[in-house]
Amino acid sequence: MSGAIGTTYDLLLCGGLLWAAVQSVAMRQALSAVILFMVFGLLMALVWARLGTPDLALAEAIIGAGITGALLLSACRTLPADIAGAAGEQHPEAPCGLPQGIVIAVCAAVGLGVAALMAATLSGPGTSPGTGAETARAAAAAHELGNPVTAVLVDFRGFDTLLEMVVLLAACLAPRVLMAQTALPAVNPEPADDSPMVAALLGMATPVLVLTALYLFWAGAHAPGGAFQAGALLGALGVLYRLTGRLAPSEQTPLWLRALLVVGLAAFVLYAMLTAVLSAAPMTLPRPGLQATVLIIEFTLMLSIAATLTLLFSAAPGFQPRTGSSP
Amino acid sequence: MPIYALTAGLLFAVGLYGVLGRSELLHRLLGTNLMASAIFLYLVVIAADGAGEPDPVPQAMVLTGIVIAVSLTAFGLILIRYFHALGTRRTLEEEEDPDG
Repeated sequence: MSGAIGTTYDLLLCGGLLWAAVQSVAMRQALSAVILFMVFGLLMALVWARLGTPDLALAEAIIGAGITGALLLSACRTLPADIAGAAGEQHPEAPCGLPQGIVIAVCAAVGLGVAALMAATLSGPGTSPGTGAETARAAAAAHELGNPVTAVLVDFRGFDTLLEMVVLLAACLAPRVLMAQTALPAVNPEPADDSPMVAALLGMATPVLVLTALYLFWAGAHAPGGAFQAGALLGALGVLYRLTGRLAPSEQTPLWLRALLVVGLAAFVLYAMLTAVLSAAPMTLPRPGLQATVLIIEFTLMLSIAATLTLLFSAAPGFQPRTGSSP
Repeated sequence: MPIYALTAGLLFAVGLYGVLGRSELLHRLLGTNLMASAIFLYLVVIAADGAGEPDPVPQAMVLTGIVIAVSLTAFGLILIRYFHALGTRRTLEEEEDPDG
């Protein structure tokens, strides 16, 4: 994009991003705040695309605007009506301890300071050529996998990705433990009555979403895409099924769901142990059979991410398909 | 791209206001998400600084971070739902009577 147009685009994008963020936190009604936050997620995806990181743009569009939005909207339904956005009685918001003026002044000071620091580090000595970033960039560019981000995720920083799967599993187990150990009421609103449009929509959406997810997974080795984006897309499909009542929440976690939740982590751990024994260092991709290893790891990661996101959306110990006609 | 670095800093401040200045739990959760987005933006601006392709290492970290942020948001929302389900208080203010 040429100079003046590019600068205008940058200014509009940054202005829109900040506007959506400010409106989102300042909005009185939760529903409006959530919708503005989804707008923010979409603008963020545009920013990632503008900065030349299509992998992040894909992930943000699916997760930031899609799954997070669905989670927040569904939570809005369970909020008390007056803060969720319905008309009716209005309670004044409880004060926060500090006067608003002081809070705004502190935030403005912190923001200006952080912004100045962040802008200053860009031209500082830390990012001059010859630092580690250049070396990593060159190594990733020369990697057999055509997509440098996938190369970093699976090969160079495999341990980070392994631990990330542990965090996902922990985030999934935490509400489960909470529900199992305490006598808390069910917080799952029942799905709305089935309409004939829903079945038609799902019939069209399911093959398209599955195909797109499989493409993203397959392309991840050499082009933007990968296990995270594909898993998030499948998770979005699971959320759709959960919302329309095709997947019903259950008190027990079915065995197949448990298997899906841990298969990504298990495959990764197995890979780490095998490479520790068979090759020079753990988590070094074997040079013959590199593509196959990456495909297996990414496929299992995709399954686990999809199952985890769907289960997190369900807010229940498990879910199972509701087969046949509606009861 | 200094304008994106400035935006990241200001975005962090907006998120901070959401956490400190609002007492609704949902807005506080949105605020933490905004702060996370600001940090992601800063990491990528550093990665895209300089010639050639953006550095893939911060990109991979941000990709990991986005997935972790959504899982923590989901957990936070479950806690907020329970908070509303168990009582009518929706802020963390202290109350005078012990029963709430």
